[in-house]
Amino acid sequence: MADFESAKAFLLQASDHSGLSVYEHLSTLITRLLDERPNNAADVVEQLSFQIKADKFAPEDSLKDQPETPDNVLTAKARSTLLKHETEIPEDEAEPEQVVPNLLDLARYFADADVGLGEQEMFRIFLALKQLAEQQPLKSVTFWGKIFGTEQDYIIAEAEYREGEEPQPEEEERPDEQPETPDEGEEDEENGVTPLPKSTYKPPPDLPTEEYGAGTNKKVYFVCNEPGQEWHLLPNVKPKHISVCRQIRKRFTGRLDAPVVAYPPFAGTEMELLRAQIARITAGTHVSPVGYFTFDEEEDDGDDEARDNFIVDEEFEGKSLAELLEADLSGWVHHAPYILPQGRSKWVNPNLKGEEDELDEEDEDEDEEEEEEIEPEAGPPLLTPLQNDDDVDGLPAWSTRLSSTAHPAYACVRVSSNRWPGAHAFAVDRKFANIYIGDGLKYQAEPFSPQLPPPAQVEYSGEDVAEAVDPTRQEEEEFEAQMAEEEEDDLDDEDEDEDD
Amino acid sequence: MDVQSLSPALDHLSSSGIVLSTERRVSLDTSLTLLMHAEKLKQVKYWGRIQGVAADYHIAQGSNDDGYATKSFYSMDCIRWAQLPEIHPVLAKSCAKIRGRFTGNPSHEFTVEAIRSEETKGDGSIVVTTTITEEKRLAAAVAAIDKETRIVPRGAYRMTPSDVVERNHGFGGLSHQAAGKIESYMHFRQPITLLSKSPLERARMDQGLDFMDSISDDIPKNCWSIQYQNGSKAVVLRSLIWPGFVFFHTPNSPLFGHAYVGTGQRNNDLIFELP
Repeated sequence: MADFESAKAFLLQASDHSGLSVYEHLSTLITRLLDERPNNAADVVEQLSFQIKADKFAPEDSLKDQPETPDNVLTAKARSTLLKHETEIPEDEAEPEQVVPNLLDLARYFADADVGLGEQEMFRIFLALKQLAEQQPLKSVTFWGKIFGTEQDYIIAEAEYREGEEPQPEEEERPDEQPETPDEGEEDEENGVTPLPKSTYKPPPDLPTEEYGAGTNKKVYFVCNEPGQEWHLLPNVKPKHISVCRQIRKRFTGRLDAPVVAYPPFAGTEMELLRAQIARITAGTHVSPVGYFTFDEEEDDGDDEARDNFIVDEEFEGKSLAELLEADLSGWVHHAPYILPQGRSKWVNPNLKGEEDELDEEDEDEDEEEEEEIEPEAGPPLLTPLQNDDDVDGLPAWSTRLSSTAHPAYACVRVSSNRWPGAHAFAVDRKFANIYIGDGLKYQAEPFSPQLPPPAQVEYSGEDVAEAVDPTRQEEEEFEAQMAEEEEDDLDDEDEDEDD
Repeated sequence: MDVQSLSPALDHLSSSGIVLSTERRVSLDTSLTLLMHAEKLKQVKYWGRIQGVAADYHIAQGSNDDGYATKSFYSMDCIRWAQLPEIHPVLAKSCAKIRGRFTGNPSHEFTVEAIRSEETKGDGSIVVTTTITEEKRLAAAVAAIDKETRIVPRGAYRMTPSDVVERNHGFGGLSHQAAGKIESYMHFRQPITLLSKSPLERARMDQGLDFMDSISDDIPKNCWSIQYQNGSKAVVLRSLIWPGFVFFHTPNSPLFGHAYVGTGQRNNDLIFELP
């Protein structure tokens, strides 16, 4: 009897954690089994026991921070600004030129080729582009693509301003003319301290940025994290950003003001890095079927330099699928200008200074001529076929696919860049489009090794700084003896003085 | 992605760039049902696709019970499926050394140079070359991706008293707050880092739920990108070590899944890329 009492007392002990006793738990379990009478009761008994415990389980932090407006409500609020229904039915006569292309139609072709963001998101982006076209004086706006960030993603729109509404070119910053901060050395000199040596390093001069409408800044780019949020205009890309961007490898965070910590140092925030990567991706991957764009023959005067503008060939009837699928990619051309190693599409001589400076420094012209002439950098001209692209890691730079094998007659052709994974283009009949959905990083065949910092400066080896040899004990003794003698002499002298 | 719940899964994965065309979905629906029947499997999942230069490989995985063991299959057209071979750990190591893209031809041969240092003859090392077919490399890549990325929410699986890992039918999804924390997700594999935990750390764990490695112990830190997406309806985790792997979980519901669409190459440069 005593055994039974002690056993029952043990079973009735409440647990430290949950406050539950075995007795109580088992009785609930048996009650529930008898209530529910499940099939194969013996097999599910653990699960039921677990379930009973889970039902009772009270989370430790039952007081949770409840944000004033939950995230999903905030997102929904942002999205609701997009939802406006046009009540007016467009009249047939005046067919205004559409600013936003039929993105949903293009997205369907991409979706057939296993590329895209899903129907719903594409529709939201379409509405967001429409909103952008209402806010800004734009001639055309298209969906450029999406870049994944570690915290948020970027949705990017590519746009052109209407003629006459272009933003005024910003005044070029002149870092040279910045008032020099008063040297601390001067103060030191006044105090009688030797001034610290000054750095003789002069950064190479910044190359001029291409203006809106030319080369890498032919179009402007707007970016947002979520369709419905405010669009941010990205600044014009600078050549120095492109050249540094080529040497570093950084993932995006999703915050435009995030710092870019890299070596060589990147002068700017993630906004500039994003713009530079967009310029590189556009230059490398924007392609169209051969014949869609053509050079304007009226303006063409045979000069190569005139060939930086092209127009849509209205007579173009589309390429056949077989031509587009051609393994040597002769059916496709690049229609974005190539970016030269210096970070511009049009080469400028970095040694030539601005015009104003030239007038001031005519005397120095002779010196300049002695300087080595720099070989102008040159890239492939516009509308170069893809077959001239360099191989990527021994494999072709582009992969071609037919979207459907079930019924090829209605299929479209997709080309995907192997150099910029995530860049795709499709074409069928007269339709084509480019899209980028990826991390914003270039394919790298070899492991990435960042540039090493320059070697440390050599230690100063001036002759005026000589190291003395430590005296030996013997020399010290000699010195002390000598000092003692002199002191004695001094004392003697003083004595003599006193005597006087 | 379960074949039965392909569409809801794609709704959440599509914003990360993982989409399947209607043709592919129709083919998968039919061919995977037939595959499940022919191979006598209890469940078959669409795993993802590995992009080759000339063609893509679609991968499906099947299993008979809830445990870790799976069988992998590949297909070029989503219609005819072939089983991927089992890969010996030594071969898997050689496969990890292969650089470059998949070509898209399963019989393509890669040559790998391995240095055997134990056989000291003259200069001290002998270079041994082995040839590996792309099919074997594919099998090794799928296994390697699974090992580092196959994750489940904490509580979705449990360890029974008889040490059997099984689906927890009482799992109702993580709470909204917990779903946004990296600690709430575990590697669905035999534990590796768990064994090196101190007894003090293990004392705080729930034996029935914390029997797998948490992904918060993965190296380097921040190798997972975690975001609320689709108007905070779903949490999306992207692996930065295997770019292209995307996992989603809808808080307060038992739905979760993952897919991989990428080139099948591990990102060993991640440490330089992290912001």
